[in-house]
This record gives sequence, C-alpha cells and structure tokens, in this order.
Amino acid sequence: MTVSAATAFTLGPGQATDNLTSLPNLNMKGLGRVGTAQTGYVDAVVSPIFVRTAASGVVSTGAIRLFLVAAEEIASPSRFTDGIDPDATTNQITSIGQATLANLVDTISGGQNGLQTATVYCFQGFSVKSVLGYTPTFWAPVIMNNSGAALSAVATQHYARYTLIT
Amino acid sequence: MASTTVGLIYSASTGRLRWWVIPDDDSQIANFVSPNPGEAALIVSQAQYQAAANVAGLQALVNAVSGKAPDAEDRYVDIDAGGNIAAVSFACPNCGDVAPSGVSRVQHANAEPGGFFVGSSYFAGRSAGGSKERLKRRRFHRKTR
Repeated sequence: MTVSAATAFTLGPGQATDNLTSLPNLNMKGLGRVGTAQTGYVDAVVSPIFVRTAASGVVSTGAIRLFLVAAEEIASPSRFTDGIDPDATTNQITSIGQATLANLVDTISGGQNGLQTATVYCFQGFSVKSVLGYTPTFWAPVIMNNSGAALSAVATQHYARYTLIT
Repeated sequence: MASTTVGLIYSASTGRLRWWVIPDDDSQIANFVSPNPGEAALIVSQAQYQAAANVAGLQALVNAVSGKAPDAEDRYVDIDAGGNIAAVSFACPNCGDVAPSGVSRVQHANAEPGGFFVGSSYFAGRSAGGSKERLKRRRFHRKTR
C-alpha cells in the first residue's frame, strides 16, 4: 500500500478559493471533493482539522460541526449526500437532512467552558472508511459554523489536509 | 392562627404549576390568592398537599381544577445566535416569562441541547443510527463471528 503526502483540500484554508477561512455564522460549506471517477482506493485519512474562532461574537453555547458527504458521480444537481455540493462556494446549510446528520463526524462545543473567542479547536482525525463503512468514489468534509460569528479571517490559523491510501 | 392550607400557583393559560406557598399561618395565604398577571391560585389543605407527595401530584391537583393537562405545549427551547439549543424550559409568556438576552425562544415539544436549528427545522445533535454507533456494531459482529 502507498500513503500519499498530506494534501490540502481544494477549497481548504489558504487555497485560491477558501471555504473555511471567514466561514460565516450559520453557514455550511464543503472543503472540496476528493476522488476520481472509476478509481478505487483502500482508504482516505483526514488529518485532525484545526479551526480558529472569531475574536468576538462567539457564543458560549455555540458549536462547529464536521460532516462527511459522499457521491458516486459528479452530477447536476449534486448527488452528494442530501444534495449538498461540497465544491460550491455558496451556503449549503439548507440542504442538510437526516442522511448528512448520520455522518456527523465531530462537534466542537468547547467542553465545560463553552466555545471561546479567538481559540483554535481541533476536530478528531478519521478515516473515510471508518465513518462510512465503505470508500465512496467521491467524498468531502463539510463544516457547519454555528459558533455565533464568522471563523477567523486568517487562513494560516486553520488547517485541513488528508492522505490517500492506495 | 395555625397553618392548614397551601397555595398552589399555576399558569391560567397553560395550567402548569409554577410555584407554591406554605404559609406560617393561614392568614398569610390571602396575599397569594391574587398572584402575578397570568397566574391563578388554588388553595388546598395541608392534608391534600402532603398526600400529593411530589410535583406531579401537585400538578394533578391543579389539573382537576383547571381542566387542563399541560403536556409539551409550554415547553420552549432557547436558541443562540448560532442556531444551537442553549436551554430548555417550561414557560408561560402570559405570566411574563421572557427569554434571556442573546437567545430566541421557540415552542418545541422535544428539541434537546446538542441539537440545532436551520431556520425552523430542528436537527438532533446526532441521529440514533449515527456512524460511530454503526461502526461499533460492525466491530462487535466481527468479533462474534
């Protein structure tokens, strides 16, 4: 087996189009799809994803959520889970449904102290196969910001990468 | 004067028991027969109060008089700026109950903390058949084969 170098998501922090940096409150966006049509792989491993909250406006009862969506083909309209388009730069929050919720990978809520301002939090890393039980042709992490304020506007304060096992 | 009565104060609109008064003597109970706006009072004997045993029993005494049986129609959730459920409470707006600042309060029968709202749609924090539960089940089955 071969493990690829850690690879940035196409719409991840620091990319030409960046869906994570400054992600507005009450917005849900994908970090860009991973996968190639008719190409299998053993597994894909998502590194712990780091996000930093805003300097103000964060509510202690807030949360930031990480979902995983999957598809077998790239189509229009999107055939990713619940029709969410992880390659779109527009807010996908109204597309969320029970299928997406079933693959809620992790929730950051700040623990006993609640969510804090200007703080870096980390989602747990995971393998796509461990979450879904299979390796879809296309997949993407999707992040929902319920923190009460936009995420930090500094791209280098976030981190999102993955490796592909073939 | 001896204390032989207890005042049960409830919401006139929902019938939900809100608070009660155990006076030092019965002369004090008169101060509570006209409670706050939106509320009504039921005066019961000490014997009835003690027989009720718990809040549910007191609520049953109120129900018998009010003709109401409050279920979840007065259950509210407070939603923060991020759409998360910050708190759950039983409340009566007609009695002056207001949401704390920074949250919006909506009636909901079963929303729980950990869940969130997208517009008016409620989503639980994790579905009953979530991925981690499925993964655990798979591992269990592998071990037991």
